[in-house]
Amino acid sequence: MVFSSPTFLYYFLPITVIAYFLTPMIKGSPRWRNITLLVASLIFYAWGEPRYVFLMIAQCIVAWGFSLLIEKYQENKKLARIFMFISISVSLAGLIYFKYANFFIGNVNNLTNSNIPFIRMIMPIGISFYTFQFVSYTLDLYNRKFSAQRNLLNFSTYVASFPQLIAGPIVRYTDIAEDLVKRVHTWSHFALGSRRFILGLGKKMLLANLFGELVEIYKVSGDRSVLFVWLYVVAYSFQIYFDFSGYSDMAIGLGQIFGFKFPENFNYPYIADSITNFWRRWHMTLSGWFRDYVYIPLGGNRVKQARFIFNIMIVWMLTGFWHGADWNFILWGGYFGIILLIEKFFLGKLLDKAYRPFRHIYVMLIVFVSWAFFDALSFHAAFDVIGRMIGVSADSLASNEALYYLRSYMIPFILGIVGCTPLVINISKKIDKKKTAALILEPLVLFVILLLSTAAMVDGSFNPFIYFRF
Amino acid sequence: MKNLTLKELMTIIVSIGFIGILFVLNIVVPSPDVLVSERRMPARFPAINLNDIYTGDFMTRFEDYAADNFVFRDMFRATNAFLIFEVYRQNDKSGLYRSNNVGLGEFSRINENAFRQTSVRIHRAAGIFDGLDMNIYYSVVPDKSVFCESYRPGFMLSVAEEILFDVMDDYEYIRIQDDLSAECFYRTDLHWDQTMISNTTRKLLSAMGANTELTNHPILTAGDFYGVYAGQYALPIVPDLLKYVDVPNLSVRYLNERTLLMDDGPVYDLVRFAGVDPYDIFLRGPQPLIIIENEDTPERVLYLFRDSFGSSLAPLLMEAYSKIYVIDLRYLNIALLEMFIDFTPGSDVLFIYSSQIFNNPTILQS
Repeated sequence: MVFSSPTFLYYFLPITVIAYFLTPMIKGSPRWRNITLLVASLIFYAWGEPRYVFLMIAQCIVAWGFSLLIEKYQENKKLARIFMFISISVSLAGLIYFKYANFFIGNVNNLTNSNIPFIRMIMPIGISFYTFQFVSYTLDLYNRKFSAQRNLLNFSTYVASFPQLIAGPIVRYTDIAEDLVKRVHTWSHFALGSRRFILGLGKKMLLANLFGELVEIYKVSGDRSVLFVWLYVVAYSFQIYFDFSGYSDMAIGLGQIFGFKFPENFNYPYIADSITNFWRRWHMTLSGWFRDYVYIPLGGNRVKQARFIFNIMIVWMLTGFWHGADWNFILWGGYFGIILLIEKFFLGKLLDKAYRPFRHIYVMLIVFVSWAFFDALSFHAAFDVIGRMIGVSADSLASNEALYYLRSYMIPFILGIVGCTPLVINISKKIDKKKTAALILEPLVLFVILLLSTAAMVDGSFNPFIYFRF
Repeated sequence: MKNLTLKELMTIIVSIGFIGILFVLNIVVPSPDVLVSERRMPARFPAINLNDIYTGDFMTRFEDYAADNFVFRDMFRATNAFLIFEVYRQNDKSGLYRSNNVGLGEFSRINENAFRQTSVRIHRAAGIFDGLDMNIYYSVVPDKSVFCESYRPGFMLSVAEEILFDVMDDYEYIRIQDDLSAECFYRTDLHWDQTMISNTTRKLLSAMGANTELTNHPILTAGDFYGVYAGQYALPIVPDLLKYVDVPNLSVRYLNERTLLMDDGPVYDLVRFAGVDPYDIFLRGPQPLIIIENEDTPERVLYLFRDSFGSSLAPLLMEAYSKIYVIDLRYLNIALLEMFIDFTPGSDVLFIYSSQIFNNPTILQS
């Protein structure tokens, strides 16, 4: 089930909210509400993946069981480490099998000229996200950052709560440990959560899907002019940002409605003035995860230069690999690793002195090229797109079709540019100071977004979330 | 609620009110029998069984049901169309465009592989006439987007012809695009207006060596016509007027698919004007086999392989033929044709299909 579907918004969500708030809090404990939320989350997950809901439940039980063992034997380092290792292995095994097995089989076949059959299966939705939650929970518990969650239902609610289950943000146990056992539900939180959810819905339905259509048009069109390939990469850049940040907004908003405080995942990444800065703003919970659970354990930057370079490249290639089981994703990650190293050693200081607009142009060019890798079906296709961006093997500079779509998407592109900056939120803050205007304007804007998003939802079926495939 | 600001209260009223009201209405308002503007039945509430739940089929069907039966569906569709056309000022909505001279249309981009496959199927179908000394012709009805005053991505005759010449090189091609214009098509529909295609008719008859002198028959009106694009467009639009040429002295027989006998029927079945597709008044729309006869014209036979464009064309061609077999390969397999027809050697054969058909190779049964 996707958030941007009539089924979710006009059936599942109202029923879940009613059931949740009708469930009593007993002595201030949200225990029963957790159960309601868990049941709703399992239905939510089973709606899209009826078979794999059992896999997720089994993984929850295993991770929870081992967490109790890790805690029980925490004084026996060796045993605790073995339990930690087994728990993480079991969690990762699911991810490796469902997401990466065919990648490895394909590469072994290519390298050895063998013919090992591919495994016919569908990847469980959200497995990349919830596996990382298992791993972070286990490692943090092993490092004694908190006590184990003794209640399986609470633990399962942490992993499986539907707002963040299938496309993040990657929530760590420490983020919501307190909320799981004691949280406050206020109408203010409900209002803030609703607002955030509606804004995210608008990003998805009114911008991301629109740019997604242009991306699809480019792919089916035979037109390969320079202009059209630029329209494609720019549209894809907008699509992936509004799609994913919209989903994160919806997740965070829903979390607020149910009394949780999920971490932020995006902070206007396209206004970054360096790639280092970009990655502090894009998918922050993922980069934070790799920093804390891969980069720092590898030694971080407190190592010799060669090792530091190795650490950076490993972390970024793994980041790419997390996004997809294909070489183009590894290359995409490696590409960012190299850029980050260049910034660290050479470019960073130059950038600091550079004219500010130039820094933004630099970032966006790097990002556009990266999305060409990201969205490509193969190396060849990626380099083909990048080549055409600079005119190599392009059919023409600007075809009739490209000009047609440039005209057609002029206003969405302007809205996209504005939407990528804090301009709207800054205006909103100014209006907030004028109490009367804010009182009318904000609810009115939210109403219009809900109306238009529902209209787009009812009218079209083109609304897959990009990050579901990761 | 004590610490709630007025703005937060308004936000809650908007969100709970909007979602809550639609939630309730979606449950209590009965489903429509038919989605009139979309010319189709809505998805029905799926039967609940464990197997369908386990396989996910139930969920998929429920999603369809929830979307199709959404309350105020047409109003929401119109709102979205308004957003796309009037706010975003986009040239089209998922390929549905509006243009000053041709009205509404939908891109019919040539899928070269599909186009080639359809050409091969038509060529294969024409093989049934091998050894009968037939004069075989073919033509393609261009999508009306080619007549737009400004560029629209879509049909390109040059690309189509390149493929056709390659595959159908042993038959004679009749190019009709030059004899058509934006005015020949309905503004709200993909079809041509029968009363506006006399030049095209002459061109076809001339190419087939037939009489090209067309009589000015009376033009009659069926009524306001909201074409297929009007429903897709969703915004209010002025309807077309469905008109037809009253060609006299035609007798028409339709293949009865149950009895496999030929039943008499009208050229223009006005009862169908009130149906899902009013354009079906022309030779009753989709029909596998029709025989039209005109005793007043010299003996000359045409085997016309066609789609819905051919339904309105066929009566006009009767000026030059005494008998036309109107065959729709979408509903009749070419291999079964000899069960119903004794071919007259030396006759004319015309394959004429629109670009939409050429883009869907599996639709023809040959």
